[in-house]
Amino acid sequence: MTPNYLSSSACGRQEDLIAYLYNEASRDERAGFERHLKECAGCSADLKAFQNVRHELELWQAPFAPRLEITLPKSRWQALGELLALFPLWLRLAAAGAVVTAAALVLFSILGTTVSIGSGGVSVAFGQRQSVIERPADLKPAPAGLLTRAEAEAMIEQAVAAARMKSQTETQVQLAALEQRLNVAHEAKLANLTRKLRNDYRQMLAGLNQPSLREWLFAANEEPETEVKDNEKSN
Amino acid sequence: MIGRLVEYDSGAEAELSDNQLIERTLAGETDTFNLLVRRWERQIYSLALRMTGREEEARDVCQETFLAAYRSLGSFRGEAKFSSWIYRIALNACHSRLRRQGTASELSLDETDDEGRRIEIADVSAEQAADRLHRDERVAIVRRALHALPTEMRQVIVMKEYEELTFAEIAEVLGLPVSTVKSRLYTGLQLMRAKLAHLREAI
Repeated sequence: MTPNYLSSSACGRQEDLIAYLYNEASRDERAGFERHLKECAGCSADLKAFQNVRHELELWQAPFAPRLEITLPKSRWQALGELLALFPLWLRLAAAGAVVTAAALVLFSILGTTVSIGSGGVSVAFGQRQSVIERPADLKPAPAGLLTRAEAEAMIEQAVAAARMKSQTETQVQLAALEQRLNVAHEAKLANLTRKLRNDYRQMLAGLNQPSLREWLFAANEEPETEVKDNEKSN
Repeated sequence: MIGRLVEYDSGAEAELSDNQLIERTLAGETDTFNLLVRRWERQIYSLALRMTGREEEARDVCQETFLAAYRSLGSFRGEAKFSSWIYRIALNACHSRLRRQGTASELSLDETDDEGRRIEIADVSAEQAADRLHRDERVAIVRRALHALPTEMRQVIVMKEYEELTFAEIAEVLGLPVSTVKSRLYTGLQLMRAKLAHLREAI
């Protein structure tokens, strides 16, 4: 790029002058340019004028910078989180419950688990669904030695029933064990509580027999004569 | 000098470099970006104010600059300094606004030299100027003279005089050779000298 200087001098040392003015020249360059300044009236005049311009520019002091309040765009997850935070707790719990239920249904469908509600209560069967492939009717009958369709269906039904029965039995056994465990824990807790209550009651009775406590309890509205009678009664 | 300001930071984050703050922001800690804003908002506002000449414009440019930086943070390569990158974004935002304002008031090189001879200016020393004008008036003249400069001259003068960047740093921001930066500074100072003298005489 050809410099388009409005130069006061034709010496071609404008860039050296700028480096000198802004104190970005090396020591040698500074010394060299200072020698040049003694000989070049144009550069001397420019230097003086630029120093005055810089002095004027300095008058425009650094202004007060207002603190920026920048609202950064949120990611989708952050926005969702903040949106949820606006709802009351029960609504958030309900939403979470719905999400968990949906996830469970998806998982169940992937695993092939069947949940059925019938006369026997709720039954859950785990594992892949047994798919029955029906052969088109126009196919030739199955060769001897292989199962007929009716036999295969019967076997499959039997296997499904056995699996259901097994899982029901297991669930019942587990429930019974759990109930038993709960009962044991419950009984132990009840026994502890009864023992504690009994002790407290005994302590309370003992405390009532202490004269100071009795005085404190009955001093407000009982006569001394009654107190003696009470003592006789307790003895 | 780039990267010298840490006074807005507090705590352990003050130790982190600009690039580390960017990495954290990109990793999902979006609030970390606010530390970068605190670190650089003063310089960006100062640059924008000197470039646009108006406080409300400067505030808007600042907002635009940091939002644009946040949006394109992923494209920041780390080859250039963050400061150079954000200064460049800020200058682009200033240019867009200046284009909208119109550039009729700019002092062109041809206009200055239209009498066909080198301009002879009777320089007025700072002391003489102080005798004649109050400080506020002198500041107003400086602002008007700076605003009248062509944008390419104004930006190098602002970055050198007010942001105190080195020639090399200005060259990095603008993507120009250092010699071009120096020649623009020379021309810009000559134009400022002429404009200041002209405005003083008009008073």
